[in-house]
This record gives sequence, structure tokens and C-alpha cells, in this order.
Amino acid sequence: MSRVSLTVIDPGDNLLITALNAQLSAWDVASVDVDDNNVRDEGIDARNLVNNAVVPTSSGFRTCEPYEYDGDITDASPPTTNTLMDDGTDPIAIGPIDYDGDAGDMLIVRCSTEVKIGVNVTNAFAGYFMLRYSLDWDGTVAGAGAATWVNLLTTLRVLRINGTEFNLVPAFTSYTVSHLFDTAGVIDSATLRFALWAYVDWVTTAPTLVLSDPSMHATLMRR
Amino acid sequence: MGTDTTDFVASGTASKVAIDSRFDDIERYLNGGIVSADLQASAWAGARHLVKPRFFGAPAPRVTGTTFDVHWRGELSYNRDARSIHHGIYGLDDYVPVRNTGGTFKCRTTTTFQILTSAYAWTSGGDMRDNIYALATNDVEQRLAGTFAIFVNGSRRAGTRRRLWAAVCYSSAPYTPEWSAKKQITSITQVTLSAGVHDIEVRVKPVTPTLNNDAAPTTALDWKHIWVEGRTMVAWGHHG
Repeated sequence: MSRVSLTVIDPGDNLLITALNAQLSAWDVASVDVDDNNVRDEGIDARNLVNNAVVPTSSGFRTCEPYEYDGDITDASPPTTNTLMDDGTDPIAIGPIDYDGDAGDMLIVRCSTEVKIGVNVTNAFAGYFMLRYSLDWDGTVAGAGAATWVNLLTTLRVLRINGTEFNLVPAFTSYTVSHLFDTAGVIDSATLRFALWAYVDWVTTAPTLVLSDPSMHATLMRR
Repeated sequence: MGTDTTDFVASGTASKVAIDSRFDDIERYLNGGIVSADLQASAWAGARHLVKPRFFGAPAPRVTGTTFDVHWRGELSYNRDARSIHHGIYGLDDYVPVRNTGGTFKCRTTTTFQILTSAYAWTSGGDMRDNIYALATNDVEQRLAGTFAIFVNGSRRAGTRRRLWAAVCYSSAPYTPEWSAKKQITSITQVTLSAGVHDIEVRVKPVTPTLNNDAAPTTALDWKHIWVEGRTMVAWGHHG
């Protein structure tokens, strides 16, 4: 608490030394304890503050631990139902993102990978790629099957080749999505994990499915 | 250090000069004399004190943010046709910058950047056919032309490589290109940078073109040129 409160000297009063000293002393005391009472709303530019000087410290933006994989994730015979894509050690997932009870945080989730389907395919095929999230997944490949997953349908992307003209031609593309995820009504205090799932439909021969150099990261915006 | 006004001596006389001196001290303090030692040691600056960032569109009403800077660069006139063109250089086996996808900037403090790049690219000048009348479909997109990646301070970021494959085939006379696959080149990365000057850019590593001996009636290279068009790069940095 730092607020200067001066005793007004009215016209006609005797100007006593003690009155002057009281006024100057009020300045001296207040001037070494500047706090929030001395700053108007929106009077501080955050660029003048050291990191985390703002209270509450949980407010604002922060980043989650990113996932980056330098190499190929190959599935020689991809299934026709949603499958968790993993590099053999770690699944493609971000997080865990732990909440401390503040429901309603906003997340921006980004995921990118190179996709290749081929070359064994001898007819039309379509590859499907989509982000899903889970509140009970333990973060391991083995535990993915037992977890409950929710599709983020707006992140569904399809790589499709129709017709025999494209026989034996592999198909390449980049899959990149950015998804705004509102946790309000979804999660209060739990661990939220995202992962990339994929599957391929084909007509006659199973193609290979290769994801190269996948990466994923997220930004948390706390209200 | 706060103000340091000496008390007047009791029963003494407060002269004009003495009063002016003390008020000058207060004036200097308020006019820029406040130092960090004068601030209350415990955290006290609340969100209400901070200049708010400006959002245009969601989620503006629901985020507690603090002041930030936006630095941007735009390609001249945002011209989609201002292509970056790369050629097969024999013996070159390294990444070279893709024009107008690099930026140098200075971080005031440790800052985490999330980078997203996007463009589309294709090859030209090559011929992947097997013979004059048949498309060499089993060769298309099986010979590498170049690899794109995001670089930060000269180092390639893991998980950002995107490949471009030779994909041009010519039909029979009059030998017009029948195949030419244009590809999205998109990738993301996240990196934490220290205070100081840093570089972010997209680079491409063209491979040395090779002869496609199957291309009749004469041999041809599998590719000659890489075209990169519609390039964008967004690097969003935040600290604290």
C-alpha cells in the first residue's frame, strides 16, 4: 500500500514547520513502496517486466512440450479403421497437458507430417488422417486401444486416388492442420492428450502408408 | 531510492530556497526517478494494470493476455507469381534458401516460437516417360528432386522435411507435358530461443538431376527446375 495523503493547509492557517515536515514525510514513506495503487489500469507495458512478474502467473499464453520426429513411420499394411500412428517408441502425441482446475482454457493444436501412400497399390485408394483426443489415455502405444477417444472431425484430411490410370504411382502430400480446442465443458481437472490417427481404404491390394517427419505442438491460452 | 526530504528544524525558519529544494526532489522522483528498489518486492502488478493485446476476432473476450509486439514482413505486393526458382546444380548437396521465406529478428528475452510455413512447388524440364507413346507411371514421383525444411540459426529443425519428386511426363507428339504434380509444402516447428539475434528460414536441397535413359527418343533429365510459389511463413513468439 503506497498512497500519498497530504494534510491540506487552508488559507489563514499558520504555516508551521511541523505541517511542512508531515507533508514531506508522507512523500518519503510512500516513494519507497510503490505498488498497484500507484498505477492506473493498463498503465504498465509488459515489455518492462521480467518474465512471470505478472500475477496471477497462470494467466496468458504458454506452450506445451512439442513432439518432433525425424524419420519415417511406416505401416506396410495399414488397417481400414482408425489406427494410432506411432514411431515404434512414442506415439504421435502432444502433452500431457495438465490442468489445475481452471476449466475453459483454449488450446491451439498444430500437427504436420508428410504423407506417402503407395507403391504396392494397384487400384483406387484413399487415406484418412485426423486428430483425436483422449482424457484417459496413458500416453503409450499399448494403452491407446483401451482409452476412449473423441474425433476432431474438422481436422480430417483425405488423400484419395481414383482410377486405374494411377496404378503403381505413389501419392505424396503434406498434412498440416491447426485446430482451436475449447476445453469448456470438456475438461476441468485431468490430463488431455492429442494424437494423430490414420487409416487407408483400398480396392484390391493393400498399399503402404508412410508418415515422414511428423511434428505437433500446442499453445495454451488461459482465461 | 525514494524521495529524501530532510525535515525542517523545529522552531526554525522555512525559507523559499529550502522549500523549493524539497519539492524539486519530489519532482525529480516523479519525473523518471523511480528505480526498481522503490517497488514493492512481492508480486503486485495485476492483469488489470497491463496494456491488453489487440485481437481481431475470437477469442478476444476470453483471454487474459499481456502486451506484445507484432513484427511482420510481407513479400512485395504479396505477388503469388513472385516465384523462387531453383535449378539442379551438379555437385551441390546442401540446402539453399528459398527466396523471401527468411527473417532475422532480435529477441528481448527468452522466447518460444511456433513457426508455420506453407507454399506449393513443382518441377519442370524433366521427362519421366518410358518411351514415346507410354507414360512411365511407375517412375513418376519416385525420383527425388528436392527436400524442403525449416532452418533456425542455420540448423535444420527435426520433423520439418517435405519432399518434392520429379513428376513430369510428356505425351506423344506434339510432346506436351501430360503429368505435372504440384505439391503443398507445409510444415511446423516449435523452438525456444535465447535473447539476441536469430534467423528463421525455409531452405530447399535440390538433388543432382539424373538421366532418365528410358525417355525416348532421346534421353532426358528427370527434372531441371524447382518452382516454389505462394510462400508464407508465420513465426509466433511469446515469452514468460
